[in-house]
Amino acid sequence: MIKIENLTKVFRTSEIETVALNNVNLNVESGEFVAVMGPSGCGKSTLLNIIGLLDNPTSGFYALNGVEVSNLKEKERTGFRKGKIGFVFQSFNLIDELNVSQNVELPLIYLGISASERKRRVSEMLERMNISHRAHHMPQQLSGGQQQRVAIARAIVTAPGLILADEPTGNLDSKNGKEVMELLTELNRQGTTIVMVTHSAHDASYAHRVVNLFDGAIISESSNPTMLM
Amino acid sequence: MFGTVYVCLIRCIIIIFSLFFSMKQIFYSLQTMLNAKWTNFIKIISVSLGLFATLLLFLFSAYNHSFDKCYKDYDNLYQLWMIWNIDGKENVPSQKCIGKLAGGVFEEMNDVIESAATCIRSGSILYSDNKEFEAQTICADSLFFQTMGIETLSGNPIQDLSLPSTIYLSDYLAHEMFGDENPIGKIVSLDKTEILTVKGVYKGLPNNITLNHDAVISLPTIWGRYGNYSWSGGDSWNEYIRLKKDVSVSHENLLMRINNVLQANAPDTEDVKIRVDARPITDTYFSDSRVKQEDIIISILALILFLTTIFNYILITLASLSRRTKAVGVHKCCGATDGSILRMFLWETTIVMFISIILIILFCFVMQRFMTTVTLGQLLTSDRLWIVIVIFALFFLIGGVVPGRIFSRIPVTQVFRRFTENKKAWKRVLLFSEFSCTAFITGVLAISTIQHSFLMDYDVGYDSDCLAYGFVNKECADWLESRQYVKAVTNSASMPIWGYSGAMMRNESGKTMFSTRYDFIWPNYFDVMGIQLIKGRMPNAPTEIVVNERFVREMLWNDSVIGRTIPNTEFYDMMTVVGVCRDFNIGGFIGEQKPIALLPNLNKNMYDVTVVRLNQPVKENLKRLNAELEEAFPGRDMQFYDMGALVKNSFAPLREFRNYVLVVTLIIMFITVIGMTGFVRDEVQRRRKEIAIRRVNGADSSTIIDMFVSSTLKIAIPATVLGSVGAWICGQYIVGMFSIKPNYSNAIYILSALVVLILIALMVVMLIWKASRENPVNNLKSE
Repeated sequence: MIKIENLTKVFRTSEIETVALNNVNLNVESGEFVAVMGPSGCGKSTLLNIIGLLDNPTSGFYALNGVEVSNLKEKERTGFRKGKIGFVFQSFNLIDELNVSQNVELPLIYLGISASERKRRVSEMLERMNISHRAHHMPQQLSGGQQQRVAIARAIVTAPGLILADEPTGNLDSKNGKEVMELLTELNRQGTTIVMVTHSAHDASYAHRVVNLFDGAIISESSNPTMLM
Repeated sequence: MFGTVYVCLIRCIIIIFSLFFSMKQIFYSLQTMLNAKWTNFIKIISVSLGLFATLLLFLFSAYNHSFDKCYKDYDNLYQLWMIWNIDGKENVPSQKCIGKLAGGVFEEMNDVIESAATCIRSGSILYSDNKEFEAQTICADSLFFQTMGIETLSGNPIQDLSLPSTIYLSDYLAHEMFGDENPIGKIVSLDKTEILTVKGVYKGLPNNITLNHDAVISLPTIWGRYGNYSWSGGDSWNEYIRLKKDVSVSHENLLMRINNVLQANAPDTEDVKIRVDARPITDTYFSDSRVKQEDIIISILALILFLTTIFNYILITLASLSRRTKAVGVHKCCGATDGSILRMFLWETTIVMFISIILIILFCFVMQRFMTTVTLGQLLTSDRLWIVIVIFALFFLIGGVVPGRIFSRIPVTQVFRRFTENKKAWKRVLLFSEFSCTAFITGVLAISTIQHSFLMDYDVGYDSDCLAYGFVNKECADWLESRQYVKAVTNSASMPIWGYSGAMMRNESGKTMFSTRYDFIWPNYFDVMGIQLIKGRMPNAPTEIVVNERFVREMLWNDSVIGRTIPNTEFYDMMTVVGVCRDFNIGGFIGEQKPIALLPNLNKNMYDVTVVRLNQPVKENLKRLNAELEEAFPGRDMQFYDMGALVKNSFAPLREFRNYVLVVTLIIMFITVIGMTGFVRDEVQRRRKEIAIRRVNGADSSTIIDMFVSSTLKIAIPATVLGSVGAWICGQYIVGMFSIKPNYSNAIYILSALVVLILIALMVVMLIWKASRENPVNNLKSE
């Protein structure tokens, strides 16, 4: 599903040049659950941004579902991303002005889906995430775990093939964190490819494979023998 | 209460828009606006006020530029101007021409001129069945309507206006005087002196014309009163020519031919040379330098206000950058394109504009009551609607697109991290502009207030406070003398505030020196009016005159004045100066002080204006006088008016101008405060981590306040200097509009700049006060 070869990302300012990713090679098969680990500033989020088509690499090759996407323009990236990739953020990133169902509905609107169909899908998704009773609540009225469940509902409402999660349990207590990880595992079991950035070895243990980044380069990759099912 | 109304309004709009539009961007825009109710309320108020005042000023300027465009084919209509060159010194062009010019030119140049007209202003009160009607009248020749391109609704003006005792009424005056009755054949009188028959009605003209009139009297009616309709002197006539449509003639050629006609009839002398200029009638209004300067200032104010309004809108919108970045990023992650984000912001601007339009309409209703010289209906006509459209379109394009583009270009990757917007250049430029505008307008306000106060306190050279004027006959004047509340009665041909007629003056060797203004006065005129005689005495013989100081200067009489003679005048072969009075203002405060000659009316004949000095209390005594007049002279409908009020009213245009500046200043200050609040709040948000770290490392709240005040003043000081320089330049224009100028120091601009800076600093202190005392742990936690 994801094929990355010699991928480099350099951030330049007038004075300094920072190599965020240095000749990264990574393949992620469809249906895989990959955890990306590494210390702060090693390039994990940059890699996730590029995989999620939020940013372009400076050089190298990146193909998603067999299509080279490394040099797409912003508009093309948006078009490619729409409905195919779901994002889950550490800080949930729900829109404060919209209620739960409106937040979940958001990606469907940009896909141009009809209002009745949107309503049906949102309702289904909220049921699935056990938050239908909170459909008309505003994000500020929810607990951290509930907010993250809404965020995951929003990420998967379009049934994307790929979910990118950036430290999805980083702002949650262990109980809610566990719930979220189980949710992601469940999604993966249903066929969704997941790439997750995490600092937590425990969270990483849910993944099939762990990729270790250091100073912008992959220093090790290991399949996960202790994978929690 | 405002908050509740605002929320209800927004909710109504949500429902309406949701019903008629399926575009989700509108919904998101409205939701975002509701989430920041107070900010958007302030935003809408500042936009409404800013655009309202901008529109008003631009419409006022457009109104000024529309003067004399109501005449049919106004492009072919020209006014004749005379430029007198006396002894090598050229006077400013004058609208007042010698009587026979237009007629003579038409006779000689009928190959290019279709028609020509001559007219002169006359009284302003008409009577019908002893009812008084305030109506500006002019006396005009039979080709007047044809030349001006004014539609006549009844009558045959070419025939009627060539006969004496004939009057044409405008349709609105005819209706006011006679209701639905046919006015033709009705008898009216002008100032109770001329009996006139209504022979026709013409279509009334709008206010934006230079030659206002509600009624036109035939010229032969006044031959006895205004005798000098000739080729020699008598420069008192307004004259117009209409060029033939199908004939092409260059302006140079036209002028050459007109001047040839003049030379043939009134050839140059050694001392006096006259040149005629023919100017499009649409140039007449702006030939007054005060109007031109006022228009420039109004346009500058409008532009500055408009820019401030737009800049402020952008600034407030950009101030929410740090708060709204996350939402923009999430929209983008969910598939929104740059265009979708831009559309969201455009919708937001549309909603702000929509509510602002409603508020502007409300402001219009309120403002209507305070507009004196021109009404809103006169400003906002269908042909000036384009101004409203352009203003709103520009606001939408700049105020909506600029922040929309900035937000839509936020890199979506920033949603993964806290977005810190380091590029403050935009905000700094906008704030700089707002500060400059504030300093500019404050300086302008200071100088226009000084000028206004100066004029209000200015000694016009006579004491109008206890004076009343009226148009009465000899019998009534005698009756007035016997009233115990009347201190004194006097009479003259005109009043200083209205201005006097002109006559050429020669020095003792017969050399023409200048055209003086003159009036005929009773011997007690100076005492009653409070005019100061500084040399000599009042005249005892018809050939004796009193002149003013300016007259003496113009005559170049450096030594003794009393006893000097003036030969060959329009009145007597030789006149002797027996007194000099202090200069007093005639004809308003715009032009220069004019030379004045006062001729005696020793027999106390009755000229037009009778003036009485009343005992205190003036208001009550004036009321009593009019009541008793009615009783003593039943059916004569004679009335006296407050001269003090008339003089004060002559300040109305200046007062209105000062009020415009005051309103604009308040609005700009309000807008700037809002803009600055947004900027400082955004800065606090952006630098909250820095504030916390400084606090942790030992900085106290005063250090934090100092830091913000200094960074704001770094923008404010150069901006204020720039604004004050602009105010200084504009101040020269404002003061230049008046012949009477106050003495003031340029330090006033420095002072107003300092006031602005102090206000800015105080505002920053108020805004940063809470943040500077916040527990730093909270800010570090949120990192």
